[in-house]
Amino acid sequence: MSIKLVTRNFDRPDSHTLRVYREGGGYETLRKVLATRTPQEVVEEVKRSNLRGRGGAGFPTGMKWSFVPRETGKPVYLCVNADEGEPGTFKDRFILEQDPHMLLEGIGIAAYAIGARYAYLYLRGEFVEAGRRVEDAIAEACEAGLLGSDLPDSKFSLDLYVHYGAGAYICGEETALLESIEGKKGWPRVRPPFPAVKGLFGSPTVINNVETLAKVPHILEKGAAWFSALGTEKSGGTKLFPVSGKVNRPGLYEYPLGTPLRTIIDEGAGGVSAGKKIKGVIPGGASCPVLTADEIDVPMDYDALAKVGSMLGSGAIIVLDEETSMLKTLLNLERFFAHESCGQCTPCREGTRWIVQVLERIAAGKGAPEDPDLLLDIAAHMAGRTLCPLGDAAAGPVRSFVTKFREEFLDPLNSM
Amino acid sequence: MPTLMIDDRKITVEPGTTVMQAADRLGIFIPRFCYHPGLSAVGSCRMCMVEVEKIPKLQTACTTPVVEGMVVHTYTEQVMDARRSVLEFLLINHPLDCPICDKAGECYLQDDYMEYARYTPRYKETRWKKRKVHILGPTIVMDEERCVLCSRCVRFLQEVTGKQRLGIFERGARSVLSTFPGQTLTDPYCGNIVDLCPVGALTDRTFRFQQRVWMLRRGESICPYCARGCNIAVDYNERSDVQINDRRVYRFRPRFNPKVNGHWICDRGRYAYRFIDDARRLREPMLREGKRLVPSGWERTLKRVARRIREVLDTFGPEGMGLILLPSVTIGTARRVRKLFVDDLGLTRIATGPSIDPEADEDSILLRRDRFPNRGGLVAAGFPDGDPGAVTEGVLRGWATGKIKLLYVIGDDLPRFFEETSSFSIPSAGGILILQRSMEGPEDDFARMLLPSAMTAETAGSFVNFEGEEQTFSAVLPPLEEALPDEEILGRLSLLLGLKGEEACRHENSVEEEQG
Amino acid sequence: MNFQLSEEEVQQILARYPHPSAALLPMLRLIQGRIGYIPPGAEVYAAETLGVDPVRVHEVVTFYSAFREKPAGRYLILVCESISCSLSGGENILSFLKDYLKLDVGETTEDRRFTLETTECLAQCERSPAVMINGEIHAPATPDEVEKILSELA
Repeated sequence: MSIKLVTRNFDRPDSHTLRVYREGGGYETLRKVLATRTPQEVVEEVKRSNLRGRGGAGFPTGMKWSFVPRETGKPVYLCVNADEGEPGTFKDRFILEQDPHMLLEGIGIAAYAIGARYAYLYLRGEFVEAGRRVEDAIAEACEAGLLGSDLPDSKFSLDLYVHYGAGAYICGEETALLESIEGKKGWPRVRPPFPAVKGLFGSPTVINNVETLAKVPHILEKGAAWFSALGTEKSGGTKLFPVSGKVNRPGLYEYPLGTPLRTIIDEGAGGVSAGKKIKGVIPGGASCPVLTADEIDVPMDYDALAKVGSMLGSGAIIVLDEETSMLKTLLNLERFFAHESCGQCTPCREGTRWIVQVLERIAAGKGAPEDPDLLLDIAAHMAGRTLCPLGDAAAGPVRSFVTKFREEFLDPLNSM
Repeated sequence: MPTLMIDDRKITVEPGTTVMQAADRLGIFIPRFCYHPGLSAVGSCRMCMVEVEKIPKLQTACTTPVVEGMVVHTYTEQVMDARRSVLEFLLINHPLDCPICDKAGECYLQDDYMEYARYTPRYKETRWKKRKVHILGPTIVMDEERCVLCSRCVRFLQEVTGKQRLGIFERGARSVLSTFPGQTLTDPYCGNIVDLCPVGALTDRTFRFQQRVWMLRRGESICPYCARGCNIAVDYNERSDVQINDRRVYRFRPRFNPKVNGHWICDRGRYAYRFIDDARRLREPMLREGKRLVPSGWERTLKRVARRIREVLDTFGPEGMGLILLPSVTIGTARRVRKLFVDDLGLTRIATGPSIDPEADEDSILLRRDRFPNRGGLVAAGFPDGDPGAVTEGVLRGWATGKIKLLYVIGDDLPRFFEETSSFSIPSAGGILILQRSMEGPEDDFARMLLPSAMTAETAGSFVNFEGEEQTFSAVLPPLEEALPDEEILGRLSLLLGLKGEEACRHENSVEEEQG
Repeated sequence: MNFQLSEEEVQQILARYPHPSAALLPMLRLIQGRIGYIPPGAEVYAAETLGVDPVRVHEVVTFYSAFREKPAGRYLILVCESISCSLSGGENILSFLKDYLKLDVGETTEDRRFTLETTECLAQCERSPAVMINGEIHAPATPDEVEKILSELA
């Protein structure tokens, strides 16, 4: 059953305005939190809610917040990751365009919890409309005395700035995002030190995804227990599932974590288009290993997907039907990773290009019998061996597509 | 202090040490491209991955801090597989032109391939074509196809010189190292990036195609071109059949010394290697006959020098002779000068030079404005420090006014010595100028005797740098042709002056060396 | 072309960051917004204004695909190439545009009206295939609609 938390205002006219958001009780939670809860209590509440990062890695949000050292004498920064660029993913864009104030309220609560005085919202440069909506929303919130300096509540002030990206997927990786805000190219940083200790401008920093933060007001409003009960044992709450590809109703659907993939495809997205059969489903955006038609009863949560060798990722479901060429699909995905590899570390820089070259050669009808194994081997040498997760992101699809649909990587005539 | 095990060997290190540093300390070599002890660790080449027990993924040794009880393995099958695969990735675009590459013989890629890889190439696709001879600056040329994008050069300029003059542009496999479009690399330290480059991407335009590195021998010396006294390696080839233009020395490179120069040297010192076999070197002792200086052999020349000194001293007393001792000589030479000219002959008019070039660059990295390597050593040998400028003035005035009848100059770089006073000439009253040095100079026109000395790399001795650090070095090469070390020239001279036997000099010298 | 920003514009972006060098991306964005691309002179200007080395500015300009080193045509057409658009026929839009404008990807028409490029996922997957013309999204796009839009542009 679909549950509307983050998406609850989307259907209302002018849902992006402060007026409409307030009509639905908006900013009341922030006000109450500031008045009645300590930052520590907020962190604990979020911890208990089992909220996990909705950007892709699924790290427990409350725990992330609790890593921020207090009293270092340095400012604490909150960075909002709105660099949504994972192919198939459009959930954050919806929030930014349809209900930016829900995000801002979440940002306010998070900033209060971690003691951040400044926040940067790292927005994809291509998000023109979302940018307008968010900037307008910030202006409205500041004018209404909800954000900014010198707020009525002296416990809390927050300056929030929008920082636009410029067409680099890697900046969604949190340390590359920090580099980018600092005015550099998006080369991920080596860890340790972790951003919580030494992040933006050398200060303690928390980086949270848009959807993650949009969940926060609901947790504080209705309580951790309520939120956690919506999901599975280890993954609390609902998740936005952007569904695209060969389905009847592509769109954004909100379901509790643990909802079977099949339910989201059939009930939410209206099943496979043109009455075709499913050949495969990418369950969490371009970097998540593909599932076969036999595997789509899997519950959509972090652990269940890991168990079947894939990931929840951004939750973006891409449905591939029986007529879809797996060779062409993988080539499309790998071209993306090759284009977006930052070039800093060897296996990703060289491996992504090599993979594309091999796939292009197969697609040109010049495949060799050893190519599938070669692809698997290149991917194996990238997975787990790169500086940031992009190497894994590029390797996962190769390993799953080639293993599960091996024949399509042997005979190009069959698959095109 | 955490204690860890690397390949079954135990080591205790300071907190914050990385696995790479601990392994280096144990002498366990972990291959690397991007890691360099003098630069920040970025973990980007992925060559140094090792197995750490209880961590499922391989870790880069250069960025992994040690923790108590850590157990590291650098030689497992998984590690070997990672090394092989990183090399395979790096060699995808490499032109494999070792036979014509200057780096061959000291290239990490070549060495590591032989050590860990030796696979049958599987890459059958089209290689990128990139620029082969990209001139980055007056001394450095780049081969983009050989570059492994380790960013050592970028980080060196950024972190050591503080100026980001090189960048890696574009991204992914298209990434390319270059200067800002249209800019050339003229940084006074940029020679270091050639040493730093682990592959054949950056090469030195003065070294290119001159020698295969395995033909070179390595000697150790001290750079004599400023008061820092950087530790250098002298790469030379004495086999005349493979020398180019009779050149013996082909490059200077830095030698690590944390107390003096760290890992680096400046280009001024680096490219001074060329002076050793330069056409302007003085090659044999010469005496003036009329307008010409004529090669005369050591015995005849030094006898003439001794006779002139005796004549002047006998006629005018010690006041009639002046001596300029430049701080480019060794402590041993300075002591010898003191013994011979001060103690035995009673000279008072001795200058050691102002010679701090006010125009010269000085920075917080290495370069010192004082261009001489042994000012402290002269003080140690008993020459006045104080205000040498005034002493120098006195000597020069005495020479210009004809009070000094004979001026003996020991050491190189005389022109700079006179920069602030006047240009050097023979006073109208006449005078005898004796120059003992290694390079030709404009003053040679006035000299009555030229005594060719060995250069630092051809000499044993010691210098005291501006921070008081005494550094001893031995001769890397024999002196060029008939040139001799200053100390030996002075020893022979004192024998001819009947002051002290050569044997005694040699003995004293060896005692000093043992003590040093 | 004057790519220099007014004192006020510069101050406005500088005020958002504790270090001037962090203002590089917004500054380049403003410059490109004004003149359509970032010529070498603008890189040097940005470097001097923010106190960074020009090399770093050039790294940024060449790293981020949205920054252009050469001017585009009056209308920059970006066709999404990513997986969801591809599954919904994005290639057809691209090949239609190639034929219609007689351009290859990355080229600009001779009259400098149109530049045709591809882009990574624009996050419009629920209404794929997507085309972006001067920042405006058109999705789902069909060859007919795109033709109609282009014909109405000045």
